[in-house]
Amino acid sequence: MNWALLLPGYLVTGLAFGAFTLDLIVPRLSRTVLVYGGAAVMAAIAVFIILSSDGESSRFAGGILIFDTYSVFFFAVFVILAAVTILGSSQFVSAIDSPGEFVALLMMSAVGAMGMAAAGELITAYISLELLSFSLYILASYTWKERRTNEAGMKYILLGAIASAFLLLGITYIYGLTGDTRYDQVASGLSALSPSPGLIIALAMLTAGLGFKVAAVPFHMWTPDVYEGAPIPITAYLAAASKAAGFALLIRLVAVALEPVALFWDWVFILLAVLSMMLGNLVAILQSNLKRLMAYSSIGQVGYLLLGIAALGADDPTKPIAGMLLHSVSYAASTMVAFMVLLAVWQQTGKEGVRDMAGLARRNPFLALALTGALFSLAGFPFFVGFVSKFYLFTVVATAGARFLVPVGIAIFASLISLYYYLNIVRQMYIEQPEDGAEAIRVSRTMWLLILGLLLAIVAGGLYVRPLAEAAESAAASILAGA
Amino acid sequence: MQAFDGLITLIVFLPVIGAAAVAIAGREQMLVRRIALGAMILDLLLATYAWLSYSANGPIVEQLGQYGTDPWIPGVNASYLLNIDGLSMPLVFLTVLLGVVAVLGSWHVKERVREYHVWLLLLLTGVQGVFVAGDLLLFFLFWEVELVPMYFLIAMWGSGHREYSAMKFVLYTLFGSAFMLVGVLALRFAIGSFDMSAMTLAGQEDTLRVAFLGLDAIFLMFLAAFAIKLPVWPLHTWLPDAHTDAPTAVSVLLAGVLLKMGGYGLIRINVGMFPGEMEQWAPLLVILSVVSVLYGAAVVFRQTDLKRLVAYSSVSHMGLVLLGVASLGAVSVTGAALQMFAHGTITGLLFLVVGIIYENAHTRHIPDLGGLISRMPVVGAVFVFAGLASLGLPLLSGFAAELMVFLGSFDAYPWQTAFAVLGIVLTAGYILWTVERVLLGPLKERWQSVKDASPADFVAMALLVLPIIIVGVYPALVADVFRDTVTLLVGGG
Repeated sequence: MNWALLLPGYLVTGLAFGAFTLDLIVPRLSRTVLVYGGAAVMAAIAVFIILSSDGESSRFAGGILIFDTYSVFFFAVFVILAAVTILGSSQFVSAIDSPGEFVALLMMSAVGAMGMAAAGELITAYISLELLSFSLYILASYTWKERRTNEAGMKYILLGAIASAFLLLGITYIYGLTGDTRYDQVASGLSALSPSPGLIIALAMLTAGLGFKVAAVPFHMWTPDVYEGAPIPITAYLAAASKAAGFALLIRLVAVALEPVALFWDWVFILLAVLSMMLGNLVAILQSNLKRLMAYSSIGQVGYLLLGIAALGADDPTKPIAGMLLHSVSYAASTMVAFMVLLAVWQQTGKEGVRDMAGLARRNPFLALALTGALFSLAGFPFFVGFVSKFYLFTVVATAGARFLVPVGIAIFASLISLYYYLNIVRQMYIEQPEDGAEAIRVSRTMWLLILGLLLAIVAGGLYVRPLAEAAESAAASILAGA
Repeated sequence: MQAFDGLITLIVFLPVIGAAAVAIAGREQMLVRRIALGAMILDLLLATYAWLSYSANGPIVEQLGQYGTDPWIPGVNASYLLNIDGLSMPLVFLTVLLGVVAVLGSWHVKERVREYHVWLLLLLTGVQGVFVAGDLLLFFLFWEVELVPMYFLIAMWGSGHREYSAMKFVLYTLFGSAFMLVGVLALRFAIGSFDMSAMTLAGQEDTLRVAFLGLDAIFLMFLAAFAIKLPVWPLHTWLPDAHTDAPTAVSVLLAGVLLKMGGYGLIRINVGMFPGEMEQWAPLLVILSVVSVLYGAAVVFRQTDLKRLVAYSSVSHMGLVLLGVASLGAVSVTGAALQMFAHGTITGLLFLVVGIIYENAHTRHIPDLGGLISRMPVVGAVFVFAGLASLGLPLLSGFAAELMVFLGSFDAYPWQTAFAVLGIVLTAGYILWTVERVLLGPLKERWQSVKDASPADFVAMALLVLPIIIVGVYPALVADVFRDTVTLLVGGG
């Protein structure tokens, strides 16, 4: 066994334990060290992961974990997203008793997410998923003394536990049907099977369990409440990283293990996709709380991504996979910008409603501009990365087969709907007058730099997406080559 | 003159550079205006240079990377491809010219001047991009990107129900562009790249095949997008609202070039790529165009708001563009293109004059006006001039364009053309009636102190009067350029 392969995971885990320990032995731990130091080391780890990638596909312990370009791609994404979240929570961290624990849990959740991307075996995937989920259960209810947080946290844990049970049951059925849990063995087992009630139950259970984790309709009920109740940095992390992790697992699972039944099951994903994008975007129009609005908009985004999952049964699944990778990164970056602006406003005013954004352009032009950019990117508007990634995804899905043309058409209309409510927020910021006595909003230098950096990234990605698209394509190719 | 590499890119993105300069220019209003004006004048010089280069050496093409091997966005095979051919050249020039006029016409804007100019310049880049895109994805991108500046310009600096009108404009256009996006994707699968020239070639050779939906459906999707933009009756209802509530310079651009995006798309895509379907649907389009001409002209008589009046006259005039396009002859389509150019300058001028009157008199309500010519001789004279150009007075550009449209369409659709000619009679009627009500008659007491045009207004008006006369006297200057490309698209002479 090549233990060196686990180095990225060890590094992040080690960092997490370091933060835990520091919290115990240094009672008044300098938050600056924790936040800036933690984020800096995470960023260094991300650079290390990218640089040490040799483009080869290595299997650890007979393939329970697979280290290929796809894993590297997601490792880098998760570590960076965790670093961004840590930086974004600098002010939140100063207000809580055990900042080390908070940061350490974020790091542990990143380890879980990394495991989900690399898992080549069902139980490993499940354990990684639980590692992510348990970290998030705690993080989401960190301000548990607040009523709505408390309720949301409880809902999250209970529903999450049920989803996990479904997932495990699905895994059990798959094991019963094929006699193995490794993805490639599952695939060869499944290809010998004809559709049976057992298979349908297995697939339905897996879909329900993972559908919950990525918040696809009709398994989305927890999302708005948890997004609203969680502290804003964690909401951002939930929307960006946790969702991407769910897809990291789902893509490899469907593309490799379930490949023989992908065509048999794709209509379910199409159905979930269409339901998610329609319901998510329509209900978002009605929201007056920005966190809830973003929750529903994220459900809509899941719908677009699920179209990619449905297209995995096509002759050449490389392009749909690349499209999903590209869009999940672009979505993560754009949604991070949006939440960071929200966070900056909330930290000063304690308000997070759509109407509380009124006149933001006068109260802080930079924040208004950044939020506008983020929302346009989420809506898929030209010259932001969201347009390119969404267009890429829709194009490759529509090419996958004539049966996808209608769902893609629906997706385009769903994007239009989303532009309407995003534009509504922009209208509040630029056209509505600020409330009487509303003061200018100050942004700390860290937040300013963070938002500016992310904003430049989503604009740069919109103008010249090629490096990112090529990384996504080689990552996509590596999963299939290794299978 | 030889076009240098990057000329088109520079023409298209110079306003963006100007916008960036404006954004960091500080709060000094005069400086902001000068930067914007400077950028647009430079752009006008570049566009003139491009035109000279076009006349000497033919179409200009610019591409970064290659389809297939070295695309701009891999995976979807899109490329950064811009070209200026005969159809684009006059429209690009028109856009830049109206850009200069728009900056001059905004001299009286006092509120949030910096933001205003940033949006105005970004809008110009978006519109120019549509006219020069040689890659269908890029075309769609520019088509969409123009919406945002337009929304803000109407919603923030407009008058009346500005937010309603801005949202209506955005929703109508978005609705159309959603259809177009499906069409764009379908063409991409048929061709394998977003190369518009390859699509046109396949369309002309009748080898274009679209899976699943069929060519007719794709044709109609593009048609929907362009018909909303043009606009064609009954999809025109956003236009009067948007025009009425937009600030002057934005109305000028909206009438002058934004509507032309629809006509340009019709000729470039519907005629160029779907000649068979176009022929099949043409009779219906001709009827719609005649309805647009007559309906627009008839409704004008009921208007009491000067801007709304000009807006409905636009619907009527753009009906003639559709008539020319749908008649599908080289002469009629060239006439339609020329009508777009002429209408851009004439209606642009009308909106400018109406804006100046509104700025000085603070009302556009026609019954309240009257006798203004004695206090505003220059504005009054230009109003009369623009009105005469609009009703098609010979030796002015509108006449040449309308004549070409009617000559071209009469063979194919004699009866329909005859009805459309009736629209000209109506136009003459409402223009003269309006001139009488606004400019002539006794001067009302409250208009004693109304001022005439400012120097900036004067220059802006002169910039539009000149091309109306030049093209009117020598239409071939523009028409021949359009014809170069139009004959390639409709085939034959």
